[in-house]
Amino acid sequence: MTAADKRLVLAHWWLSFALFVCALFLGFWQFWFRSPIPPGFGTPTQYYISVTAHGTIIAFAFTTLFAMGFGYAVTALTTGAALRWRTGAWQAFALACIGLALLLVAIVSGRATVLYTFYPPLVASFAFYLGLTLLVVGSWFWVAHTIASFYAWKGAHRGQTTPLGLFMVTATAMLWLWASIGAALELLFQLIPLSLGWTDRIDVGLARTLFSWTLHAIVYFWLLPAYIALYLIVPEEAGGRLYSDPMGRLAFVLFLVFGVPVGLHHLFMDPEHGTAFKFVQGVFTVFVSLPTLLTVFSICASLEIAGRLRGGRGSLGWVTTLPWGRPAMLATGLAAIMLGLGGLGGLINMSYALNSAVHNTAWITAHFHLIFAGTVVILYFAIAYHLWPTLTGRSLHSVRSVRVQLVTWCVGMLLLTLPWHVTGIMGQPRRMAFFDYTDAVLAPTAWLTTLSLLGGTLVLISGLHFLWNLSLARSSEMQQVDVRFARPAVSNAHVPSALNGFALWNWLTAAAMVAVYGWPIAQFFIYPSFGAAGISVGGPP
Amino acid sequence: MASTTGGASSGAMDAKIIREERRWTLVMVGVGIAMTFFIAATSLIFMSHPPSNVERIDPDRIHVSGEFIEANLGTELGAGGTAVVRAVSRIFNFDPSCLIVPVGTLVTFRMTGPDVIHGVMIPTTNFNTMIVPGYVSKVTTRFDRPGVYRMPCHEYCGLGHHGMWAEIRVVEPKDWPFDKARVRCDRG
Amino acid sequence: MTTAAHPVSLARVFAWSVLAMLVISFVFGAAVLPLRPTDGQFRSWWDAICRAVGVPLDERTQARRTSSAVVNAFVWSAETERRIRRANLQNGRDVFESCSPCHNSQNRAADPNVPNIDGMSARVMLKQLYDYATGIRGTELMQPIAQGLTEQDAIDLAAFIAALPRQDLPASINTTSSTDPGNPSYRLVYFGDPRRGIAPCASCHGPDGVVPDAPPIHGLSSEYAQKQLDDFAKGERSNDLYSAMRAISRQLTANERSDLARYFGEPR
Repeated sequence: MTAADKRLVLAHWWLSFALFVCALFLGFWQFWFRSPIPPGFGTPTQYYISVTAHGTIIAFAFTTLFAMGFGYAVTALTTGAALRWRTGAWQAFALACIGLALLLVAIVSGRATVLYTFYPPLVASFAFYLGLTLLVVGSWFWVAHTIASFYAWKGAHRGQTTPLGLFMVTATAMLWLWASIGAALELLFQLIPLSLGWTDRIDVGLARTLFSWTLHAIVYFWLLPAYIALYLIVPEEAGGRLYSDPMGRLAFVLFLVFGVPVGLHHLFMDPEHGTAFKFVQGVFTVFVSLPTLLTVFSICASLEIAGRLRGGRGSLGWVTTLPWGRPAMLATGLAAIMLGLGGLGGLINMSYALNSAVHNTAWITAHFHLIFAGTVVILYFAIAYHLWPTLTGRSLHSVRSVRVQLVTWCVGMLLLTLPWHVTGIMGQPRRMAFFDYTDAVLAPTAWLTTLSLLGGTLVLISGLHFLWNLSLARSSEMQQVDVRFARPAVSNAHVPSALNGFALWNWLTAAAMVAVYGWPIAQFFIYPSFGAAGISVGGPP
Repeated sequence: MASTTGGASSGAMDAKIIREERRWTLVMVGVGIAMTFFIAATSLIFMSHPPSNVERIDPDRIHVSGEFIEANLGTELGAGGTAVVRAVSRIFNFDPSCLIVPVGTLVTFRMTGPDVIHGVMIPTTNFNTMIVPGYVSKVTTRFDRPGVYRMPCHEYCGLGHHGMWAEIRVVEPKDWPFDKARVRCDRG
Repeated sequence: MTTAAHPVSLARVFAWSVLAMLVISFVFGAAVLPLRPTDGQFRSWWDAICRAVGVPLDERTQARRTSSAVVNAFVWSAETERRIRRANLQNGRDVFESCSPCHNSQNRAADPNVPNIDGMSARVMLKQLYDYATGIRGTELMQPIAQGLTEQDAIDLAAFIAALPRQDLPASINTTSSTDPGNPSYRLVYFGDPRRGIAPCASCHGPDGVVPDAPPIHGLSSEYAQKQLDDFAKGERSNDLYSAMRAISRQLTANERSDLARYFGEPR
């Protein structure tokens, strides 16, 4: 990687991590505020402002910036060449920064307390929506850059198999493009006109449906960088080979086909859709577990290769010989624990008839904190630690400190989220600033919420520890060597052309989207509702 | 990225890998089909599935005429041991804020609102739905245990969302206040 | 090296499988699941499929469930909002001449039972005038006055009053940062009471939030605020849509009502 490319990646990452830590403080205070032992400062209004800031930063800023940085790094490393159109990339980054600034100022001023799901007819200030739009547009440059880099490589290497990392990062970029369309339409055609006063009513059903398109697909956009690490970094770190290159490609393109046309499962309880399309998208949701299950197989097989190469014997003896002390390995093991538990929760969420037991309870919030803040973010940490020497020319000051940070993150997350799941089943509703724990239905949740608060404290400390570990990396005498990605067990295995490009998968995704979202969106134009008047949060705009 | 170490055995290994993958994929697809079947069957057998009833209404005029004027809210006993509960959710209260329903009866809730998105659920029951302005939400369920239940709004609806709690009482038929057409327990 | 195990036909198998999945699940969701509706009322297959697909219910079937009553109620519409924006403020000032003997906010010796309406939201003002005129809200005093206004007069008047500078908020509720937690009403104003289903006063009435139906109430007059809270609690004032204030006031103790009346009533 060239020095200029490293600077680009680091810029994205430093901003991403700084925002992340701010969001951690906010999240911690929020949990404290709604616990049975509140802090004694702050008001409910500030709580909702905090939730908006925390959600917006994590869902749209931290994740997108991290993916962009990682994406640039993988593109550079797998093509083995300097990134092209670098000026554009910096301009896009600047645009994203301006958008972020607008966004955060709007939120802090109290005129945008609409949460990261910004459910209309609640209306925020125009600055909020504009900021978000600029952030997304900035990320679309990265999407275009990645796709262009992919096809440029293909053009320059006709007939050859594309590098696995480049393929995967391009799939990630395409997924983000697909995912962002729903919210982009909602922003451009509904929310921004409403916030500017060009329209005074909004079709709430249409807005929710468009947003649901983005809301689920985006979580796979968050997931895929972590999976790239599982395929490319972990087998190498374990000292083995990647079991199969094509299987990895297949998993990634399956996320396109099954990860995008599933948003309606966020609207199971809604009155503006009927059971037909709710059920269809529910079935697709069942099959979005398939790429994860394929990944589990591939990675376990890859680790088995590594374990046996290190002398492991017997059907499970290879597990103990793996280098669990290495950060990427450790993170994988911890992620596996959290994925298992979070995945079980996900199975419940997708179960059509069970949705009424969990919808909009604390179970939902607990679930996505476990699966995202737990499984995915710990792998983000592993990626950062792994790439840090290449990017900064500095080695981590203490591997032991890294291990401690990873373990405390996992323990903190489990302590935070497991009792939180239970409070959801007991009936604790979502997004409430605080609770009166003398209320009969909430009294049993009090001690569980306090346990979660302990977990949250650990999580905050661990997050700060992560930044500390990165900051303390020190210059070393070692030669500048680019990080090496895992190689497949069979070096020149045949990769079918369907898995060397994206045409088939994008066509399938498009066809599926038309089939499962076509009527659910068109119905709002064929049978328009009366709409609802916009209501500004925090006073008249 | 692909290096060019070939070997006589790599073709056999490749075939083995593909075989294993195909087997795993088929098993996983089978698991997916089984899960789908199970979900579909239980939804059908237990008649338990998410709401499926699209009705549009003008949120600005629900208080003027039609089903959701104030005088028409509350529980109405219907023929054949059924009941209909009509309620409105607004920033930041439910009207009626105290509902009564008979135990062991099929109760249909019909709800709407004049302003923003609200949600409503009754913990320990399967009553859970969203209330979207412009639409009427309809959910049918049965309460098998008498008692007093809490009914919070569970979707962010503004700065007072945390105060939006109502109550619902499930009573035996002998305790039913039969003399009113629309029954509610939040007024004197 | 090239094997037949990943031929292009595998992609075709996959594509056809996705299509089959779509068709089967759609047929199941649209035509089979509705056979067993949760309300136990299966009408006809066509009806069930239409409902499942999301075709809105026909208005005719809806009519069975409605009450035939029509309540004489104020409706705020985009049209009304446009008329407010284009109101004749000069006419509004002229009309206000006859209001100011009682509603004179400059003369502190004015009748404390009369609210200070400077800067009152136009939407709330119009609703109150309408409710007075139709008798939904009663004081014998205001009814003939409201009935004496033409619709345009009411709109001009409401726009004029809305433009009058609102008095300074009482110091303790000027901004969230300058609240005094020692004030007995602080908790209710900023936190509310979830146990009784009471949202914070500030979330509707400001300064944190202003909900369209909720009037700004700071500096109204304590006696007036007291009377309104008491009337809401007794149900004697009932023009708050869907019991917005009745549900709250009923739950408040007499002490809480008088504390809040003092809190919101007089500017400091």
